[in-house]
Amino acid sequence: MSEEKTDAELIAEVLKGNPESFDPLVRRYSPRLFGTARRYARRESEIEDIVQEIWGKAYKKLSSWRGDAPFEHWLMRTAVHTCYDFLRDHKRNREDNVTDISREDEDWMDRHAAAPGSTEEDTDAARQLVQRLLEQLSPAARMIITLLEIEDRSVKEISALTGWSVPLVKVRAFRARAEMRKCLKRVTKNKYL
Amino acid sequence: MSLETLHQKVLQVARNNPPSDDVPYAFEKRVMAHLLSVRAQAIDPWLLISQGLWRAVIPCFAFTVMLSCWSWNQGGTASDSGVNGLDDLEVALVDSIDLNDNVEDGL
Repeated sequence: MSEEKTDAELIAEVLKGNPESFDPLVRRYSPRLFGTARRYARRESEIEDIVQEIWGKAYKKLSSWRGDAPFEHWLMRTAVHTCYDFLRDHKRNREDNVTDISREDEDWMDRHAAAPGSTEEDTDAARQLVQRLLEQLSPAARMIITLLEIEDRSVKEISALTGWSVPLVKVRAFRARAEMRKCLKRVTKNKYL
Repeated sequence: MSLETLHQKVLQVARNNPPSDDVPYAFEKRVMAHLLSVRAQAIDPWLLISQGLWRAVIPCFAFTVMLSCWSWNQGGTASDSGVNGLDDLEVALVDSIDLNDNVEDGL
């Protein structure tokens, strides 16, 4: 029964003092939140903690949802902020991370260098390399690269999600691309120029 | 191969391999249990009071230690000044007696 109710109806019930009505919302949007959290954290325990924190925040400030925008958008803003906080909190770990690439990463790059068009994109090595590169970026750069280049969102959308102004998003995007190239150069040990 | 090509290729790999959106088993139950426990904690006034008191233990203890140190120092200074004050009083009395004696002798 409750699954058929709209987000607004469920939220109204929660605000009236029926917390069980929050459960269908958790079921409905958790996959989306897991997909987002997995872009920023690697360990499954960390991902679960992030998503739980997002739901905790959403529950606490549920009364601030005014209903003029879809609940999903409002929730995604909370998700992006929580992921950004996670990246900032784990900045030290990122800086301590090794910059060397694995044998598999190097093989993938060599194959790509030999035949750029034919290299399989879904190999574990390629995914590992992408993950390693993203982990070495600053929190703001990683957030921008993920939203702009990987999720293919517009600058305006990113501005709405992050709360940063449009010019700030543009500046950060420019810096993030430069930072990523720098990381790529360092990771590949100046092999490809 | 240029760095730019590799950069674009890396981004393409990331784009073509979105992370899984699988939700761990019974995750909803975990979230709801957490939210309900937080809510219960927020409602129980005795728990709030006891939490507040426990949180106040360390600052209160630190304040007590600071106050003790301060009063100990002040106490030492006060007793010193008290002794000095008595000495001063004694000197003033003795001087006045001497002065009276001198006056009487002069007469």
